[in-house]
Amino acid sequence: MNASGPGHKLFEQSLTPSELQLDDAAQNVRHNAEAITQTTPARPPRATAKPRGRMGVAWREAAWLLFAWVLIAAVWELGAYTEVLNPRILPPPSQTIPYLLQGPAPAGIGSQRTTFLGAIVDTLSRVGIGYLLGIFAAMMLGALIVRYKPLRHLCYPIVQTLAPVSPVAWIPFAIALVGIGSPAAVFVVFMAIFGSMTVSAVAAFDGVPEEMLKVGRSLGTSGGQMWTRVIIPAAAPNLMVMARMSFFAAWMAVLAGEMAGINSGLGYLIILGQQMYNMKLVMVGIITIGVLGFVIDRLLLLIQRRLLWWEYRQ
Amino acid sequence: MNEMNRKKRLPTEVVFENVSKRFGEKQATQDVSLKVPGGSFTVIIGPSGCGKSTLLGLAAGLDEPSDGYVFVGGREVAGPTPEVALLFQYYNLFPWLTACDNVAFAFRNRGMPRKEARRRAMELLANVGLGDYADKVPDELSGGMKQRVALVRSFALQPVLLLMDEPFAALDHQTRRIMQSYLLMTWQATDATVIMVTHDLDEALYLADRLVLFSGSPGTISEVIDIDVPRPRRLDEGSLAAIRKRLEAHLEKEVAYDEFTETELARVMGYTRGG
Repeated sequence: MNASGPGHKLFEQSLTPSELQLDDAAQNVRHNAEAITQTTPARPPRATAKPRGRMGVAWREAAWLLFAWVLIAAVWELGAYTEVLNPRILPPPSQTIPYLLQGPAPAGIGSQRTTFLGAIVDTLSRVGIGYLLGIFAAMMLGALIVRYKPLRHLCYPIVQTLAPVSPVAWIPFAIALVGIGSPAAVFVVFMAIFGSMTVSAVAAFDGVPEEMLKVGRSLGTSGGQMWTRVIIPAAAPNLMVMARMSFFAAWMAVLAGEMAGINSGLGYLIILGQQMYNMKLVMVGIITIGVLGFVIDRLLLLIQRRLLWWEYRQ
Repeated sequence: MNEMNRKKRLPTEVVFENVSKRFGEKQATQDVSLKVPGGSFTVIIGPSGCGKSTLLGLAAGLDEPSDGYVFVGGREVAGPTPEVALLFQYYNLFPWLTACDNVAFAFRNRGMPRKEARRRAMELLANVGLGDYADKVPDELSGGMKQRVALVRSFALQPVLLLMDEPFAALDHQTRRIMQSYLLMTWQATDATVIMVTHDLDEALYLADRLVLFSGSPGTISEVIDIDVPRPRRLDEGSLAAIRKRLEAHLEKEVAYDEFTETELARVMGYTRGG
């Protein structure tokens, strides 16, 4: 506690020269190298350095992300311009991005008519509901399997055999059961993650160190409190990693489902583009899927940082 | 009032009566009878996998004996109670709680309001020089600090019995010495009975009133040695040095049965021992 005051001051002092030099682009490299050698011995306590460091890393990461995409867009544009790439099959960013920004015209006919925004809302709500239901159900079943021996013998083998089944394989069954539309897509998403997430939940709960449980019990924790106060927090880091992995599975499942019979949503938008030979629409679909998937994963990472705050300290 | 009652209570005796414990096929301990005097510091020493830790689990009420009885304070053990504290080598602290909340956890489980529990926890941490670290999570603490917090929590509920399973084995030599002093200091201010399992002969000689030598698989008691040398102790003192020799001979004999052939052992030991 006491150390953080002077340490912080040191940090600011040592940083000031390098900040001043930022304007002076010509001398930047040389002075930065100096600034680094100056800064190192006066390193502040890690507690104060951390937030700043992490923000710095985040900005650098974002800059690289942007740069990589600008680079690929430029190469692409060049390829289309020189006709190395066929612009009718791979429409360049200069065509796709304005098309995306104006909002693609409503596509499809009759009841399958869909707008860009409508497709996004459809897909997001399906994946959201299916994902949350799947995670919740998997955690519950995982806990029951860990808690009750007979269930482990009975349910676990079934879950283990169902886990590797491709979610797309459930589509005929889903459509026959609840018809074409959102419930079928939710079902497919659910099936995509339920098995694997249950297996992970069981592994995470089983992996809680025996000593930790014993300490909990000897400190007077029992029954349900054992779960809420010891087992779930202890398993949380592993659960969270698996939950993030599961999101990718869920995201792919909903799109595959929409392409293979559930005729609406972003996946279907791509199929429409294919059917109408509108490659700009296909491209818009792909970009949207990629960007949304990325953004949601970052959100999950943010939630992970909040939930598992103790792992991101020091 | 409570304090007064605590001071007056009788030190808790622990009795193992013909205790055997099997885990499935494996026989962990066989027909162990042992009396641990109330208020004493008893150290169990022996090779790995001879069922020493099993005895602690039985005394803590975390396991039931397959045969025989375990009594703590005259009553047969029936499940874990806050009267009996546990300390392991690792995993004592919950990584998602700060040092303060880890100690407060013990109080909270007894229904104490959060604020009061935190205040008491802060006091106890300050007593062992960890006041400035109360808001750190275990990952931010050194191994020695973690064990100090765990030690504080073990004594927080004024246990009658403290069971320790190689609590300082992961610490470096110096830190271990300091922790042993903390332990003695804290223990001598209470009337708690301590049973500690260790591999460290020096640790055993520094701390124990009574040494219990365990051997073999399944585990049985091969010898009980009382040490009535006053603390603080010097290990080069005649009687302690003699006991140390006996312990070494005992452990050497035990380990030979286990994983080395006799010829292998003779060949290898030539490199460190003369004669």
